[in-house]
Amino acid sequence: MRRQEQTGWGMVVAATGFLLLAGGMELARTATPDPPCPLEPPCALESRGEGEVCPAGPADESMPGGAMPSRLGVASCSASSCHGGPKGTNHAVSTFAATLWMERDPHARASEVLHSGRSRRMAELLGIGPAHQARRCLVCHSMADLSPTPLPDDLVADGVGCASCHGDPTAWGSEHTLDAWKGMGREERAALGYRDLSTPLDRVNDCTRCHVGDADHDVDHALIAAGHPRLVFEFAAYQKRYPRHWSPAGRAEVGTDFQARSWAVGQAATLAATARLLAARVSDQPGRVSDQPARATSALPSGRWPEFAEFDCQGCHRSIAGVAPPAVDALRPGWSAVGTPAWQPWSQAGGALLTGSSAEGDVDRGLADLRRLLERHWGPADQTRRGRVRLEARALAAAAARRAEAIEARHEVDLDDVATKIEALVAEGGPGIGSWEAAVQSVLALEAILDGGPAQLGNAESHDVDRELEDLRESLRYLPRQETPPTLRRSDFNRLRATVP
Amino acid sequence: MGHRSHQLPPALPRPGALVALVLLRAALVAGSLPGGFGRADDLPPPAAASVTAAASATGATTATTTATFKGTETCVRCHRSEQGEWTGPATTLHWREDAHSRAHLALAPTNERTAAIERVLGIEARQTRGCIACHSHAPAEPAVTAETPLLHAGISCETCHGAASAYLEPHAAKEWRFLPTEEKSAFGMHDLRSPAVKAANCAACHVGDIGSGRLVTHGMYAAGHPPLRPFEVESFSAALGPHWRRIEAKPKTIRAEAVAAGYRTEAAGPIDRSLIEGLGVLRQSVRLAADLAAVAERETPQVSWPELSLHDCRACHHELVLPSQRPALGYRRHVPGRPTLPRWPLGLAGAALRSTPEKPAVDDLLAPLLAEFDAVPFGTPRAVVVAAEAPLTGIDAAIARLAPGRLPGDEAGDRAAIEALAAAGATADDVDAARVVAAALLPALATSPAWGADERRDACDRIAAILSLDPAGMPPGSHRPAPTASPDIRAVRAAFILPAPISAR
Repeated sequence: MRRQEQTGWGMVVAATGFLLLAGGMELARTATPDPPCPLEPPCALESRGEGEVCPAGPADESMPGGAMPSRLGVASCSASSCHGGPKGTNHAVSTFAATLWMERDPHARASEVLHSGRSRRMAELLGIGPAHQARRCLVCHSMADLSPTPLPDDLVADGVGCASCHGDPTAWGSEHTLDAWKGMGREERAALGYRDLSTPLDRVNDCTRCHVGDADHDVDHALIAAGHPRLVFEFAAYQKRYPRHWSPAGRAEVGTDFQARSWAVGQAATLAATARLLAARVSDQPGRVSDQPARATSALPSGRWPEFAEFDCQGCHRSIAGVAPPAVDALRPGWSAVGTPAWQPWSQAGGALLTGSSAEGDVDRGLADLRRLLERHWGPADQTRRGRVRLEARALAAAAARRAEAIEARHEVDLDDVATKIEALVAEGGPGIGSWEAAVQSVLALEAILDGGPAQLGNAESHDVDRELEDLRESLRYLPRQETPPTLRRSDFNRLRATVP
Repeated sequence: MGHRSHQLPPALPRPGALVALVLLRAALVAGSLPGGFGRADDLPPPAAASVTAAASATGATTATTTATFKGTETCVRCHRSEQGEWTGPATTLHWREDAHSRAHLALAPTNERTAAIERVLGIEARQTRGCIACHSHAPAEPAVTAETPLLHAGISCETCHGAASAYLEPHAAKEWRFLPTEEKSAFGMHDLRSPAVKAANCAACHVGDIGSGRLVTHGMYAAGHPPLRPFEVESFSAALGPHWRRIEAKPKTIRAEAVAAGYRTEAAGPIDRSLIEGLGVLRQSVRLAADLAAVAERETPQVSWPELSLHDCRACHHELVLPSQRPALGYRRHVPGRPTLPRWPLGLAGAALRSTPEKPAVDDLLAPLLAEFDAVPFGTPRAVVVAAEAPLTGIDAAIARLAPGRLPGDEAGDRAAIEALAAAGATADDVDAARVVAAALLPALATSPAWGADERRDACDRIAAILSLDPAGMPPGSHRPAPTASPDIRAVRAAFILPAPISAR
């Protein structure tokens, strides 16, 4: 009963979120404190400035110095005189960035999905209470990860708001309106919690927090099994389709190698994030409440390793009905030990496209070491090996992050050599990786190569190529009603691939 | 019930740890392959091991470990000729029809699938212990020369009935027939008229058995070995063409002798046999996990753990369609997305458990083991060994309860068993579990006087249609891979809902 009421209320909030929030900040400032804190458990913010007000409403009187306003809410940015002005061509995009964002950006609706029937069922299976109140969900579907205490419903309704990407504005919200802000350097701003997102590397490191995951933002196999879609992230493609709420003028977008740079930096940084996530997952040994003395006194591993979300979905989730015997040994050549799922084929394929030769050093070596380790012995029994996986994963993460920085630092990024790697990657019988993931990564790489230069400048000759590319992409699309890629027919892919220059 | 429970002590010993260890080391460690194979010549003679394993599954405590094989030619001297009503040409004639007699042909290099498996795993099947263990008779058995070698090189008489050296003489004696199971076991014979022994014997290959080195590893499946299909022992063996006759089908004089001797080994009717065998198959599935875990625990890291073949195939191998049946079905309060034990034996075993006075729920019985899969994916070997003890004890207790069987003509008992089976089907969360339940249910329901003739026919047709079964039970060949498109489990459940029996209206 209680759950139904909460859900109902949540839906109202979600539906009317923006209306409620338009004046939310002003209301918070003028609210007269007193009814007890409505949060459960009660708000425990430790540092509050003079005269500031609790984000959930009235101040908790036990807190010295009153309360402070939260700046997390979109409302704190979207005042009509700040970033929420009317759209128009005769004033800077920054004056209506929040307006654009609210209108077009799916992140603005990230928390609404938590009220769907599917989300309710997922929360039920996971036993985490209502999805729209569960931290497990809210860390990615709202700005809950920026707050040590539960967000009030109106802030949850903001979805993945301004603060999620630009940083919690509590410390820089006022400063950034002052003239002095313009004189501040990148580091000074960062010290206040402001995230500069001007380069592709800045951006991808922001996106991967949720779209790949980290220790605190984890779409693990339990979540997927309960009904969450799998995560497949390629930065350049996402960025290209992202409804921009800023002007490209004077930013990374006008660089003549923007798409190529975004692709290369994106692959390296995504691989780094993937490896960091692996290190976190393989380390994770949450204490288990147990009444079994044998376990309590032993060093038996407990927890969730092997974390299945680290491995190729189709390595396990494929039909075993009607697999013709001669086809069996042709499946996934060069992948892994027979009957063992491969590690992160998506990131491996991206990494292979990015590097792909022994001359590339650390990243290639790190990938190969990790693969060998994971695909031979991935069971829960061996703690020593888990420790080695953690070390290898950290080494790969560091190498890939260094590589991302090195690419970002280049004067000019070109992808001429990537095209040849695509051939090797998808080649039949070759040493490459014949998988859907490899094929899609290849298509996205082709897209980046063809787009090459600055955003939105277009390519006069690109029309026919676009159509071929679209055919190629079409052949790789999920089948209707399927949540898993189609079985890749390499011959079809190669034929289509050959039509794209 | 229960007055003969001394035959099956509640806690059946697992095969000697030493034997299991030696064989598994040979089968899994010596091989250079993932999921492991050893060469045939690496191995100790398997005779002792298989006798020990099967004998311990019968509960016999006096198993002989010295029996040797006499060879099929010795058996057929009597069993192919007319020498009395216990022998006859039918025995070997029927055996020629039985696919087991040709099991070794699957290992021929001309078999396309076998060739593919050999290529992937880099083995020669006919020289590989892991293949021979199930596809042929024991290497220690004398070769067949006079009788058609091609026919008799597969599973032999002694593969199932036990190495004959000790029982060859005594089993020709008139008194042999009605000896209790454990006395026959003492001579090395697997008393396959006992449903518990029969289930353990079939399941040794069709589920797996560490003691006798029989395990289809996940590496073997991945290389192309066909899935071991869910099966219901009674209908499965009936479909092969039996080379035996049940006691109730024997001449009147023999039935009278059986009564006089107090013979109850196979006195359980067909429903009870199915229920006991259902428990036996579940027992084997749990035991397999425990035995392999015991070896993995000692041998880590040489023996790889997890061994994926211990788990439910469909836990992983399911289509990812929208809307998915998986979240809709739920995970029975377990961590979503964790591989669990094979689910296909759970329906029939659940119905069997509900037919005992204690009526434990199968989920509760397995709870300690399933908790280990929640604690960490696949569980840890040591924890699995410990956690399997209580379920095995519970299953053995239930088998002991059911083994003595009910008296003939117990219509109320038959009706209750049918209702337990129907209830298991109506709550199944796995199509294969429902198929196994149906295989036991349909023959019993089709002839039960507790429902009207039309009602019985309707129900049987409905269940058979949705599960693609013959209305009389599981058709021959139903152990072949199921049709690709599985029926909706909710529709399957609905088909099992029976009208109230006539007596309850």
